[in-house]
Amino acid sequence: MTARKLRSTNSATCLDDISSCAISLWASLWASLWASLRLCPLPVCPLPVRPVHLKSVNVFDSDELTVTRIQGPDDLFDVRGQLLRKTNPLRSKILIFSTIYRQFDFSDRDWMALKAQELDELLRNLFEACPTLDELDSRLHRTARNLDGVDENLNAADLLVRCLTRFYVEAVGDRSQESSQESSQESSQNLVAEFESSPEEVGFGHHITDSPALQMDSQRGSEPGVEDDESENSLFFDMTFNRAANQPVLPAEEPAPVLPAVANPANSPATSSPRLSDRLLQHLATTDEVQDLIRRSSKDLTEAIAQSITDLEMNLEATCAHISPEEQLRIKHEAVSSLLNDVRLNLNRIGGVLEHPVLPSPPSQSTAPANTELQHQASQGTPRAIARWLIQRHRALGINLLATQKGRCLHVVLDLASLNPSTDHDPHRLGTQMYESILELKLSSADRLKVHGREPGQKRPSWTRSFLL
Amino acid sequence: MTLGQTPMDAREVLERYISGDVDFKSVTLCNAKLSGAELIGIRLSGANLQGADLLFAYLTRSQLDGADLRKSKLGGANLKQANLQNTHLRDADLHGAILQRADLRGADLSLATLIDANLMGADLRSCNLSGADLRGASLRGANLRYERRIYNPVNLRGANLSYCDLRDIDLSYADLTRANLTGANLTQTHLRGTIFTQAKLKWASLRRATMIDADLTEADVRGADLSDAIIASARMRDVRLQKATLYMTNLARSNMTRADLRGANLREANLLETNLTKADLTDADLTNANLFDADLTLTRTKGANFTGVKINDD
Repeated sequence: MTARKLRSTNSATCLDDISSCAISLWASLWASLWASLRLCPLPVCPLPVRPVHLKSVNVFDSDELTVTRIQGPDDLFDVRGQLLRKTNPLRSKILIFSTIYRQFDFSDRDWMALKAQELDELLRNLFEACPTLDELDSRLHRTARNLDGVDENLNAADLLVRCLTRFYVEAVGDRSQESSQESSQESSQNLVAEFESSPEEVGFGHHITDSPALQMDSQRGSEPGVEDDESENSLFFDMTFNRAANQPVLPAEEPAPVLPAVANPANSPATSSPRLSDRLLQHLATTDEVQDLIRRSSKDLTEAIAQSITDLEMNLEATCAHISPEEQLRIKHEAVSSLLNDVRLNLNRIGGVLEHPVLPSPPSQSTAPANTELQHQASQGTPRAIARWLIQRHRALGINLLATQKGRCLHVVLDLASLNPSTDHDPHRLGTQMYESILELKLSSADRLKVHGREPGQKRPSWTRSFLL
Repeated sequence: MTLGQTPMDAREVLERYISGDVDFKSVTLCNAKLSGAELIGIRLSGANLQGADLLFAYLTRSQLDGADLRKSKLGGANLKQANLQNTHLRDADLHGAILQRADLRGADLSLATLIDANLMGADLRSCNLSGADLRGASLRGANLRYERRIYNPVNLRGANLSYCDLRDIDLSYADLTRANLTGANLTQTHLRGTIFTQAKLKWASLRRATMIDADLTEADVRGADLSDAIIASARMRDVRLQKATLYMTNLARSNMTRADLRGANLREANLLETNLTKADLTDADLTNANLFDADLTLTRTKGANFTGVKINDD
């Protein structure tokens, strides 16, 4: 894409050699920035969890085409075909409508709404509203029992679950492949090792570390319906796979879109294992979303740079009008190269800042108050705050962890992969350290503490230590 | 049983039906409330059921030929294998209705709502579907064939067929002027001489479709998949094919004057004797395409890929 873009912007000036050189430079530069981004151990950044999209990106850049397609082998034609053939299409529609919006009441208003949405669209929305197969199943069946024609509805619900299973399974398969590929790319880390941070760019670093918090706030503000428990779960999840996912938060022009509330209070809490796998799915969807945003930002950036190159050429053309064509070509070549070198240098600096994201706040004065503030929040007993406080407190270990509460028992899950290689992985020592820290909080909301250690990519913890509080 | 129009109310019909009487030819049941009624195999030929409420009614194998069902509500009704020949269904609501293998020959379905209806295997010959809303309906295996002097081509002018399943069916000579076929699946559909003037075919799949002599004048076919389709001798003036996939498509002898083919994939396409006068091939991919005797007068070809094209020696 980069190549095409550059060529088209350059076509007026016939500078193919320059553009090709620019491409290679740009590619290497981009690779280095990319590597620097994926390496930085960003602190906890809970992003809005979005259910998997059946929709794919519109390939038309600036067109009014809004039609989206389902990814997958046969689109939804076959799913719809099944539904039309084996169920009453209208009943199926009413069932889906009642599941995702409200009980269909046969009023004119609801009829209008139902006619406005084809089965296709309802299916997509249903898939989006139910991030997991379990949830889909339970919600559909629950709704089916509350509507007229229970038998037919239950049939339709069964068929829907059967037809959509494929998409849930595929989604998990695809994504887990992706994440395994990502880990292999970590080998490029030596590329960025030499970059150094420059103090004047700390402000920028600030911005980067701040933005997740902002996003989190906006997310919370816009969905008051989501229970605290639910958001805790998503934290649990985000953190678990934070490293594998690599969520570099660019200074985003566009904040991540906010999801429709999909909380389902009837479902079991976070720690049971099927729930975790569901969370995996959700989380991977988030990763996708993030990657998408990154792609878009990178595309904008690339375009901006290509535009700058064109502008530079135009200016050069104007200034060098009196020189011979070969000489002109040489000058332009050099100019574009040095422009790109400059850009690369600046990007390296930014990369350097990302390399050291450890200090979100200037060290001396403000750390202490921030710490006490964190401790204060943590002592309220919110698992999220506790997790943040523990991370802050055990910065030396470089540990990444998450906390969740089930009943009166507080669970702390340590991401063993995030530990500094120098510290030992002794479960007992780590457990005791956590226990001692938690004791300082004098929590009233929990009587027991369980510390779990988990290897990356594993669902179940590899060890667990229990303590009484 | 009864001749002429006999007024009757819904309760009477139901009572008589339960007692075993299924013959209600030519009765008048305007605006009757029969929603959810079980009327399997009922004979209502020539009956007047204007504006009747038949929501979710079971009318399997019923005879409704020549009946007047204008503005009736047949949403979710089960009309499987029903006889609906020459039935007046103008403006009727058949939202999500089951019309599988129903006989709708010569029926008037103009302006009817057929959203997500099941029309699989239905006989729709000589049917008037102009302005009908067929969004998401499935017409797999439906018969819409034109037979000279017996069945007229189907009229689908301005009908909304977006996301419709139209695979494998015969829509030859049908009139789809200004119809909306966005995202419709027309894989392997027979479209000989079909009129798509100003129709919307964005994102539609027309793979392996036969479109000989079709009229695609000013049609919007952007992003559609036409690979392996045969669109020979077609009228395609001003057709919009931006980013369409025309891989291995046979476009021989078609008139593509002023066609917009920007960014289209024309790999291995057959453009033998195709008229591409004033067409826009900017950024199109014509690798290994056959351009023998094609008319490329005033064609815009900036950024187009002509690797390996077959072209006249001169």
